[in-house]
Amino acid sequence: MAHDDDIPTPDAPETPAETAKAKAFGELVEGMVSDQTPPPALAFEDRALLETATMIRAGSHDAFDLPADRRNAIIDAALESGAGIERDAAPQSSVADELAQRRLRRMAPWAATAVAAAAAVFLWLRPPGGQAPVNERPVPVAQQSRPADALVGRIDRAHAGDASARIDQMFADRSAGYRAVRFRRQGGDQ
Amino acid sequence: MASDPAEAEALDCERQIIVEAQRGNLNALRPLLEKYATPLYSSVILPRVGDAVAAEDILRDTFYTAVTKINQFKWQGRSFFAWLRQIAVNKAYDLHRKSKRQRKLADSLRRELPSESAPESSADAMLIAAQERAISRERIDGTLVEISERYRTAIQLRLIDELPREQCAAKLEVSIGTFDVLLYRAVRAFRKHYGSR
Repeated sequence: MAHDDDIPTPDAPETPAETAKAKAFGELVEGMVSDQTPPPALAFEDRALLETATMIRAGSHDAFDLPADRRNAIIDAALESGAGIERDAAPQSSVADELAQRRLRRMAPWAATAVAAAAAVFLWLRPPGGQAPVNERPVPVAQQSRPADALVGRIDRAHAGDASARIDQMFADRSAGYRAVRFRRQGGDQ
Repeated sequence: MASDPAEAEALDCERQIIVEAQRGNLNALRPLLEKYATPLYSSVILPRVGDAVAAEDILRDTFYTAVTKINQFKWQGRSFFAWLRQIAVNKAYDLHRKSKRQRKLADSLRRELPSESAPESSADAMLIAAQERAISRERIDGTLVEISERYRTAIQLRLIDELPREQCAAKLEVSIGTFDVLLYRAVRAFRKHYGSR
C-alpha cells in the first residue's frame, strides 16, 4: 500500500477545517446517491472528489439511469443537427454569391467617388476652349534642334584647324535662339 | 459475430437500419439510438467522467458524430453499439485531456485506448456493456487495493454497497462525523492512485 504524504492516515486526528470539508462532502455524496443534481458552483476540489465518487459508483453497478425525457431530447437534437447539416450542404454556392454581392454593394460608393474625383481632375487640367495650347504654335527654326551643317558648311582642308571659330559660330547661333525663347516667355517677342 | 439465430436477426435488423440511414433517412437511426442511449451513458461514459452533466454532453456529442458521419460507418457484422462506444470513449478522453484536474485520468484512459477493440468478441450490445462494467470494476478494484484497508472499507460500504451514512458509521464503529472524515480521506486517496495506474 502506497503512503500518501498529503493524505492523513485513518487514525490521524481530524482538524476542524477537515471536519467541515468532510461534512460538506458527505452531503454531496448523499445527494449523488439520491440522484440529485449537484450544486452548479462547487469548489475545484469538491467537484473533483464528487466526480471520483460518481465514477466509483457508476463503474461498480447500474446505479445511474438516463431519464427518458433527457434521452429523447438528446436523440432529437442529434437527428435534427444531422438533418440540418444536410440542408446546409446544398446551398453553399448561394452563400458565396450573397457574400460577393455584399462586397460589391460595400465597394460601390467608393468606386463612384473615385470616378467623380478622376473626372474633376481631368476637367481641371484640361485647357479652356478657344485657346490653342502653347505647344501647337509654330516654333521658329532658330529655336529648333537642328544640325550645324547648314551653319558651318563644308570644311576645307586648309581650314581644318579652325575648330574654335566654328564652335564660336555655333554657340552664337544657338544662343540667339535661346535668347528668343527667354524673351518670349518674359513677354518680349522677337 | 452472432452466436445464435436471435442475435443474428437483431444484427441483420441493425444492418438494414444503417443502410436506410446511409441512403439519407437519418430518422431511421432513432430506434438504435433509443436502445443504446442508457447503456452507453451508464456503462461507458459516466464511469469514465464521473459527472452526469458532462456525461450527457458526451452522449449528445457521440450521437451527433454518429449521425453526421453515418456514411463513414462500415458494417462488419458487429453491433452498432461498438462504434458508438468507440466514439464515446474517445470523447471522454478528449474531455479529460482538456481538463487540468483530470489530466492523470486522461493518461490512464489513453493507455486503455489501444485495447478498446477487446470487447468486440461479442456482437451483442448488452454483452459489450457488461464487459465495459467489468473493465470499470477491475480498474476500481485495482485502485482500492492500493489504499488503506479502512479507506477501502469506507468506499465499499458507502459508494459500492450504497449503505446509508449511519449504517456505514455503525459498521466501522465510529460516529457519523468521523465516518464523513474517513470517506473524505478515502476518496482523496483513491483519486490520487486512480489516475496513476
